[in-house]
Amino acid sequence: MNEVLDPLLRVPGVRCVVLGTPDGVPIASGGDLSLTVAAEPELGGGLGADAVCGLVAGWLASLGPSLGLVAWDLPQRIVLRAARNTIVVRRSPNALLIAMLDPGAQAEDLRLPMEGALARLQRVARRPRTSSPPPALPSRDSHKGPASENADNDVLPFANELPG
Amino acid sequence: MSFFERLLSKPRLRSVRQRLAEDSSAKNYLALAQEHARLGELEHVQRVCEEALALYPGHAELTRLLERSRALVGEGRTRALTRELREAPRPGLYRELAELLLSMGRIERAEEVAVEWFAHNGEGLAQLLRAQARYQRFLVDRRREDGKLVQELCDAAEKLMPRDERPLRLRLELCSAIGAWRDARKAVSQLLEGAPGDASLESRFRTLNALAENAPSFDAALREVERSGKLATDERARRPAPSAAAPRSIRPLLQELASGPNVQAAIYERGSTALVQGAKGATAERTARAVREIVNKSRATARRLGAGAPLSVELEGDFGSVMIAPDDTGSAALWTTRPALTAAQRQALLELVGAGVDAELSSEEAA
Repeated sequence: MNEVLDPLLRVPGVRCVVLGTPDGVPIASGGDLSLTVAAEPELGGGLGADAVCGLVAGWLASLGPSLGLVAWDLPQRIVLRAARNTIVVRRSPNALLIAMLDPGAQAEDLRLPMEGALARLQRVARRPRTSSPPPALPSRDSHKGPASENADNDVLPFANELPG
Repeated sequence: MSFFERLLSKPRLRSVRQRLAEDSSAKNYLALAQEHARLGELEHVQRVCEEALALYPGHAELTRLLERSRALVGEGRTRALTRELREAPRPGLYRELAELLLSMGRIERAEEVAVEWFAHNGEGLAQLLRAQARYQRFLVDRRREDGKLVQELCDAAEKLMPRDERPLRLRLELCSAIGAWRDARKAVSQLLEGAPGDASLESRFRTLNALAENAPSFDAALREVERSGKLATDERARRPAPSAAAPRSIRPLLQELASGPNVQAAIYERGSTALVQGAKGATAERTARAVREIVNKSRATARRLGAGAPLSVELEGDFGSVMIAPDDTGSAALWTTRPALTAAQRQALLELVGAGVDAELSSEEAA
């Protein structure tokens, strides 16, 4: 993931970058997260990548109903400029890219690098694996029951539909 | 930069300087500052930007370049001081580093340095600098715990530096900010003991004496600030002076914003009332409600992330782009169908919410 996050960390004013899943699980992070101090006493002295990712994902989830009032989808890019940091979030269907900037740094400077990082992420995700891991479930071809109907739809059968 | 690159850049720098001598426009100043920046001459960048900003105050690009160069110079000095402190710590270095970090707005780091300094030799000035850093944090977050800690740190600094008036000045600032007028009066009277006959202090004492009668206690004032998120100084600053010019009204500014290309709605909210230009009827009502909810949720998130009070929230998606500029009293929002707002629109929105304008909220337009 370094090839995705490193170019962002080289942009002046970027304090830290966190890449996570849309539900708030961090995948990778870079930069100085220790400088990100939690205001909430229960979160301790500083925030880690998991706290930043979780809080941002929770924030986006909480925005959903508010945006629903005006029939807007969740935004792809969000910039929260605050007194001490600026938080830039770029959302894609399968990832959240979060950058925290120092005061005075411009979120606009990060627009193209973040787009580039997401494009690189998609490329990395599409890259063919050199060795395939052993399957966790029996292959679909082994099913002769109703689950084989779902073979083209990439949907796993329910437990009660499994033969035997 | 290599010797040859530096040599080659000399004629370019000379031609930019000549252009500036012929026409001292902001564009030419910017070109010269950028040329110095390319050469890594940050002091020259600052000098050119300051000279230009004296002629063109508020020029966005020059201001940004000046801030960036100041930050880079500050960061370089911070690194050097940190290195020196690691090798051989001494109070002068701690002091310079803490003050530099405070001026750069890196409050948490400044406080860490002050704590480290106090642990090193127990100096009163370390406590004072820690109190100053915590006070800056209190102004942003407005948390009761921060205010209490500032008070405690001022007490500690006063004990360690009995003849120094700086802890008392900070205490006076804190008490005045939260509206604890009795404590503020006490701080002024202590200051007057050190400087008897000081005209400005005497005048301030008389003012505070008048305010102190029904003033809340220090704790009650802190609780009120935490609850409302408003400082007493905010209220006083917002109160229009009797001799001041008539305040600008919101509506013409909103109409101007809404008349821009691709603008769907321009909104200003204060309390439970909203002025909406562009959108009509139920759409206006729903948009205003959505803006209010987004502001509340973003405010909570910024606080939990330790980022302080939110200054603006920008959303970009299939719907276009929305920028919301929240304030202590209200918030302004602009929705356009363009992918991103222009710099002029952003500036206008921030000016709208930060101009201290007096809202003319009429009932027929209230959503």
